[in-house]
This record gives sequence, structure tokens and C-alpha cells, in this order.
Amino acid sequence: MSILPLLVAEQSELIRQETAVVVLLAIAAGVAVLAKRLRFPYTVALVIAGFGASALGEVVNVSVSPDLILALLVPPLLFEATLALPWKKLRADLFPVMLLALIGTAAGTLVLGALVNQTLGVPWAAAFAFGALISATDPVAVIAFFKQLGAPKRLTVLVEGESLFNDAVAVVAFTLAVKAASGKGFTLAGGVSDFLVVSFGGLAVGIILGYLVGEVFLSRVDDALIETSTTLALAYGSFLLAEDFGLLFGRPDVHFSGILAVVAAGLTVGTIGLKNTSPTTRITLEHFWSLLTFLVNSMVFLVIGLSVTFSDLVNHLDAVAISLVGVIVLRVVLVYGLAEFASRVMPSRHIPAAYRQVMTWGGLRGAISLALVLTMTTPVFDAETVTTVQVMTYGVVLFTLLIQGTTISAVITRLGLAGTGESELAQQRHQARIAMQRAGQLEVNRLGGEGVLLPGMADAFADTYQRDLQTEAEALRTHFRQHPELETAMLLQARRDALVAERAGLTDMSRRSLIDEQVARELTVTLNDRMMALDLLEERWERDAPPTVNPDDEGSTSSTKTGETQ
Amino acid sequence: MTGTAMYVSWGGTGRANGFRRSLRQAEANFDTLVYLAVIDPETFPGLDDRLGQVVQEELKWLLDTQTTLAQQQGSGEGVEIEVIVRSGEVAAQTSEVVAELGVTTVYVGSPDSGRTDDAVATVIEQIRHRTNATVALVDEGDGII
Repeated sequence: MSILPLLVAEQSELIRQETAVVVLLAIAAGVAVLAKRLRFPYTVALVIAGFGASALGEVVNVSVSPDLILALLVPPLLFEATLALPWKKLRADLFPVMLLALIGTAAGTLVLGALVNQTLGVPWAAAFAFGALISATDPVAVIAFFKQLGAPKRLTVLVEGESLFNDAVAVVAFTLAVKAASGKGFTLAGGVSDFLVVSFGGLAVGIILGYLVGEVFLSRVDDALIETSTTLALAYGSFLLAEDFGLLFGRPDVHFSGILAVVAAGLTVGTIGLKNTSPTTRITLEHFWSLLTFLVNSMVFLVIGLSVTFSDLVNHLDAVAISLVGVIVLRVVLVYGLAEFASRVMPSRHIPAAYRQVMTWGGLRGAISLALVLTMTTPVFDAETVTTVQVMTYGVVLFTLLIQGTTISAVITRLGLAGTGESELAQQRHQARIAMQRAGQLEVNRLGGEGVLLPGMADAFADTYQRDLQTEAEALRTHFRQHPELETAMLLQARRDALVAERAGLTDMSRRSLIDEQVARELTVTLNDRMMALDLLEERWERDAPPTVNPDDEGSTSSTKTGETQ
Repeated sequence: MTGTAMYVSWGGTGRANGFRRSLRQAEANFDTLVYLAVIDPETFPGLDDRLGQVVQEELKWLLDTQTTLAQQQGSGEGVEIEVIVRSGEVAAQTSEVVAELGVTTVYVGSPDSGRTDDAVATVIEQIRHRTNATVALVDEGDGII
């Protein structure tokens, strides 16, 4: 038998897949341009593009195996989130975050599973798989609005932290539900035991690997290429090591959660491995991981768009409606209930009502839910169940991203959580003008010094610039007098920038071997402590910062001696 | 113009506005204004000794800058400002510093805009009972009440 036809078929399949990937990348790039122009979070734009992608039909026919989705697409989504969430910031709110992630995901899995089983007749295992995967929240769109609007940092930590851990817990619960569906000797007691072993095993693998890579390797370098490639290897390496842990000891049946290993490795390496990383390297690292996450998100949103057609949605409208109502109602109950409980247990970490509203409405669903549902295939589940669960998931994601995702900024603003108000924009205008005028003045001085400008002309230019600078500086001072809260915010930001610069200076001294390693370590610890202290002070200040004050309104003045009242 | 007044802020970086009000008040009547910032365990729970010490140092650094800035901008000319950061319960720390430095007037910063909640009222009452100083609440929105 000739192998030529086989080779030709293989080559043609390769070209077909390559074409599909190129088309998807082109669409993703187009979506990115559009999202930027419309100032929309890209996940919202992607879900619209994915919806339209079904029209492409046979042109883009991507087949991605369930294992490949879990092993290739999910790890970068979680690892990127850990890098954006330093442990030090997370630690203060770990209790409410873990409550929402653990109890929230467990309740979501059980309640939503029971709901779709009882109302729609979805088999138990598939119903629980749906409950688990739809409990994973996606903060990308919400965080984008937080940044745009200058929302409080603590709110960002709460939303990102919950999402990070509930993603991980949801994946573990989902995997167990799929295992139950495959009927491989699954029992409830065995499932709980498996959950614990798989979870703690995964966490342990991630922490150890993250520590080794961070402490031994990354904490001693400040190089964009090395740190980028090492974190990439760590993200996938920790996943593979946990999943195939038993192979190291000749026990292929022993598996741990690769997803939890990725999360633990990311948090560990982000805390100890990147402490010597200069701002420049960190920016490169963040850009790399943002790009990777964007590509993965694009792939997932477009692939689901290709899998679920408009007629599927119409035919399963009742299923979508029931699951959507269940998701929203449960979100309200869980966020308000658990936030209240956490606030009572830790009054000092009280979660304000406005935060609870944003956390409720900001509970969008996205890439993790879609990636997981794409792994639900026949013959583990029957075809109708697969279609129903896929359509429900897609429907919930569509609604949360399109409706909640586009209205969350109005909610944030209405609740008074948007930090970048008119007064802050006015401050930025003054600052920008000062920076521009300084740059102009420096250039005029340079031209004068080089003899390009006549000395008298250069002096005249410089004087005019100086006058403009003084006017602008006085305007900024007046603005601060009118909005003193901006002064404290600026002071905190400037201090943070100064500490980052101090760290870069220390790294430079260490790299040039001008100081002993022990000295570098001691001072690095001090700097890290100072950063942490600044975070605590800033967070406290944010909690108390008045929304608007008018210092010219002196009001009444009274004072009292001991025991007197005036 | 003689004697020492004190502005008390607790649980944070202090407010530029409340402090400036106190400084303007002090300008007319005192030659020294002590800026006492208290890191109380209620608003900073779970700080170990080392981190507590660093928070104190960092806060001192920020407040030194803030007070210098306020004077550069013309508030409290001629008034000497001393920044003190302490950890512990607010009324107790305030009373101690009042006794140590002979402070005669205490301006207490309100931890929330335009609102005198029970916690603030309690602190003020406690300082009044423990010291002989005049105690006034500096409110963000309405000045000193």
C-alpha cells in the first residue's frame, strides 16, 4: 500500500488546521482593534465575535481534543491571574476570598446541578459538571473597568482572588463530575477523598516547584527573556508534574490537580521569585502573559462560537433561561450571605455594601467555563446532554458578558466607587502640562547650549517656559487645596514609585557585584516590608477617603474643655 | 503664641484636609503642633511586631513629607511640627503623649467624612476624661466642631 495518499491527507489536514488558526488569529486581532477603539473589554468583544464566528462554518473547522484544552489552554489563564495578584495583597482578604471560592463553588456545583437535573432532566453527573464549570467567574472584563474607573484596590483583590481560586476549585469539581459520568468506580465518599488528595497534592506540587524555581533561579536574575521563558515552563511544567505525578514512582494511577498546581506555583513564584525583577522586566513579563491569555481567550471564545449555533440557542431557550436565573439568584445569595458572614467573623475586614453589589453584578462567566464545557464530549455524555450543557453555558456567558459586562461600569460609578473623577482628571491635566513644559524647556536649553539657537533667543524661550511652569505649578497647588484627598493619593503613588526605583537601584548594585549577596537580601526584605506597609496604609486610606470635600467651607468651630460641651 | 497643640489621626495616612485645618487653628494660638498618628489594632489587625514596626516607619516617612508640603504651601507658618507615630489603643496613646509633652489642645481627626460615629465620640470622651486638654473634633466636611 502506498503511503503517499496518507502523507497527502496528513499534509492537507495540517494545512486545514493551520488555515483555521490563521483565520482565528486574524479575527482575534480584528476584535482587539475594535475593542480598543470602542474602549470595551476584549472578552465582551470576543463573545460577540464568537457568536458571529458560527457563520464561518467550514472555513474554520478547528478540532481541539478535551485533554488539549485542559492541558494547553487552561494553565495560562490561571497562571496569568496569579502574577497579577501578589500574595501579600491577597493575604489580608484571604478569608472572604476562600469562603467565596470554596463555599461558593461547592454550593454552585450542588444547587445549580440539582436545578438543571430537576427542571431539565440533565443527568446528575452532567448537571454537577455544569454546576461546577458555571461557578467559575471571569474577572477580565470587570477588572478592565476597575482600572479604567480607578476603583478601590481592595475590591480588585476581592474580585480577582475569588475568581482565581474558584476557577481552580471549579476545575477540580468538574473533573470529578466527569469522572463520575465515565462510571470508573465513582462513589461519593471516594469522590470527596479524591477531591482532597487531588487538591492538596496539586497545591503541594505547585508550592514546591514554585519555591524551587523562584528561590533558586528567578530571585537571582533580572532578565526579561529568562524570566518569561522560565515562568512559561513553570506554568506548564507544574501542570504536567502534578497530573503525571505517579509516573515518577511507577504509579500511573496517582494524579494530582494540575490546575491547583499552576495556581500555587504562580502565587509562590510571584511572591518570592519576582522580588528582584525590575519594572522594565516586569512590564515585559506582563505583556507576554497578557498576549498569551488574549490568544487563549480568543481561541476559546471563537471555538465555542463555532460549536453553538444561533438555532441551538433558540431551541434551548428554556434551558438557558432556567440556568441563567439560577446563576444570578445564587450569586446574589452567596455573595451577600458569605460577605456578611465574613464581615461578622472579621469586623476589621468588613466588606462594604457597595463592594457586595459590584461583586454580585461583576460575577461574569467566561473562558474557563467555555474551555471546560468544550471538554464535555461523547461518548462520556450523550449528544443531547452535551448540546444542552454547551448551549446553557454559552447562554450564561453571553448574558453575563453582554449585559452585566456592559453595565458594570455604570454600577461602579453609581455606587461612588469610581476613583478617577473630574477632580483627578484635572490633576492629571496639570501634571501632564508641567511634564510637557519641562521637556520643552530642557530641549530649548539643549539647543541653546549647542548653539543651534541664538543665546538671547534660548534665554527668552526658557524664561517663557519658566513662567508657564510657575503658573501651572500654582494651579496644581490650588487644585490640591480644593481637593486635598488627591494630595494623599499622589503622595502614596509617588512613594510607591520611589520604592520601586530603590529596588531597581539595589538590584543594579547586586548585579554589578558591588554589594555582598547577604546585604542585598537584607535590604530586599526591608524594601518588600516597606511595600507591604504602604499597601496596608493605602488600603486603609482608601476605605476612609471622603468622596468629595470642600475645604473652603470652614463651617462652624467649637471646642470643649474636659467635661464641657459647647 | 505659646504652648503645644496636637492633631490626632488614627488608622491611616492621615487626611491632608483635617491636618491643614488643625494647622490653621494652631497657627493663631500655638508655637508647636504635634501630629500624632496612632496605628490601632482594630484597623490594622494581625500585624506582627516586625511588620508593625515597618508600618510605623513608613507612616512617619509619609507624614513627614505631608507636613513639610503643607508648610511649603503656606499653612501653619511659624508653627513647629513634630510627627509622632505610635501603636496601640487611640485614647490611651493620645493621653500618654498629652501628658509627656504638656499638650493643651487636641484636635481629633474624624475617620469618616462628615460623620461623628460612636467610635469617634467614645475616643473623644475617653481623652477628655484622661487629660486636662481641650478636645475638638476635626471634621472633613465642616471644619472643627
